[in-house]
Amino acid sequence: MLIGWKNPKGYDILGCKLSFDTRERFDVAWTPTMITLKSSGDGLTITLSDGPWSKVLAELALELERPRAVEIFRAPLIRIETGERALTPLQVEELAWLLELHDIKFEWSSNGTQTPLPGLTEPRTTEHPTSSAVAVWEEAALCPRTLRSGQTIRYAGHVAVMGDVNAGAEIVAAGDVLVWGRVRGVVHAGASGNDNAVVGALMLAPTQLRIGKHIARAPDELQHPQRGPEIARVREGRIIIEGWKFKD
Amino acid sequence: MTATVITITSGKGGVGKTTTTANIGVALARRGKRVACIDADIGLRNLDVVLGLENRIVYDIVDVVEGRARLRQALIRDKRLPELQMLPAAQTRDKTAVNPQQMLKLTDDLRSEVDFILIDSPAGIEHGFKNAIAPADRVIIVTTPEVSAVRDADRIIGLVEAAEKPKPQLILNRLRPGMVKRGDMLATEDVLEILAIDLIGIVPEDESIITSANRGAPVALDDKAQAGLAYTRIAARILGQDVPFAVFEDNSTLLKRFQNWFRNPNGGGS
Ligand SMILES: Nc1ncnc2c1ncn2[C@@H]1O[C@H](COP(=O)(O)OP(=O)(O)OP(=O)(O)O)[C@@H](O)[C@H]1O
Ligand SMILES: [Mg+2]
Repeated sequence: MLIGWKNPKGYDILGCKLSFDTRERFDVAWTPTMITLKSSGDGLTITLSDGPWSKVLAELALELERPRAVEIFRAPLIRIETGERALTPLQVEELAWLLELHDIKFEWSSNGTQTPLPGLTEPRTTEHPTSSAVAVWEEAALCPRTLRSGQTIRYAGHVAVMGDVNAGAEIVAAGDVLVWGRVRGVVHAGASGNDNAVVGALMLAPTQLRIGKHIARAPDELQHPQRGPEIARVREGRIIIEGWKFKD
Repeated sequence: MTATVITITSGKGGVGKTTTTANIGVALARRGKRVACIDADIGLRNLDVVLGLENRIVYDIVDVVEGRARLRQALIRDKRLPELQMLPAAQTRDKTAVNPQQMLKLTDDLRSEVDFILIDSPAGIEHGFKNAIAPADRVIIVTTPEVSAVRDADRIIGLVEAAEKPKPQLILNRLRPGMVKRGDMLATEDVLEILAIDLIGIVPEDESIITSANRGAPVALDDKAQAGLAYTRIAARILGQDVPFAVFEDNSTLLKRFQNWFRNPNGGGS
């Protein structure tokens, strides 16, 4: 749905459907389908569609990760328009948590009338809300080639790459990221706040690695990356990279 | 017979695109091929200077595109090498004076008259680059063995792929074997590992490139200069010949590395 080149073979992995898009020939671009952002005079309105909730949340998470997000979401007033959709208290909680993760102040707007929803007046903890807060749209995108400098994949699900992720390239995924190749660029897995996401690659030497809200960067001294596949995950509040071992 | 259009580009500026275009042009012409070099760096023309043809410019590419001159009038023929012609860029205009469709038309008009059309691309990824790449049948990327130049080359390769051109080929320019040996410069194999495209030539750092460019007599006219010979070999490879890569002094690591690699019983690829 979002990767800016043609994929003649229409790859399909693990039964996950993908499609590719050639809207922009010179830049890999992404347009959300579940949410719309509209700037007006006094602020920003985020309209949520009535599509699958995990998808809505995952797309919003990716929007919040865009390089220009700081500018867009700095608006003095942010309205969230839910239209016909009625949010459950848990969904409200998840949304609030996601926005607060990015330090964003907001107020609710439902059918144009601004009714603050229950549960929002109380102070909020930045803990994970209990259940599906880990907004991963359980689909995967396969990029069948090397991602070069300046190319970006943003995907509201898992991402797999057959090739390298070169320095200057970037992957932001709501789910896991697996690279059958070397990673030298920036990878953000679990961008929707999912600390359980992992990043795996045949060689991991990223400029920067993010999982959920954790950030790790390459050591300043040049190090020889370990040969052989590795997997990065969050353990005890830190990103740890481990050599991959076959389980017997 | 219709010409092959080869665009020479790099992303980063000053890595040797113009030098490469001029010298490949000369080397191909010396082998009897009819060559037209087009300077697509509008506003910063200098292919004419490197080729020593500056003082003969009457019309330029913008004059042709805007209909003030016919292509035939604007092309300058090299006196030393009658097979070589050049279409200069305009110095007083900017890159938006020409668009990709006009570049396509221009090269199409030339195709029946020459064997090769070489396009010297401006640096960057904007309008001028898009003009230069539009008519390309083949793309040659020039980089130096520096991290920033390689990064830009990588970006350009991505854009060339997105423009649905065939996989570009690489010229590694200004290699200094001594520095590579000391570990102060990226080695050929490092660059190839990152860019993952085929190498079509290695040009060593050579002072005679600078002196010859200043004289307007490209180094490829000189069979004694190392760099001149490098361009002669590149021209042969462009013509489909299988020319082995010269091992410049100190530059044997590439071969050794590959030998080791094949011997390694655990080597599943790298
Ligand atoms: N192999 C080399 N050895 C020594 N000097 C070189 C070599 N290649 C290029 N140069 C010098 O580097 C300078 C820049 O080269 P050139 O003008 O060809 O680069 P360019 O990529 O066309 O630059 P621009 O992006 O400005 O168009 C020139 O002075 C040239 O003589
Ligand atoms: Mg130039």
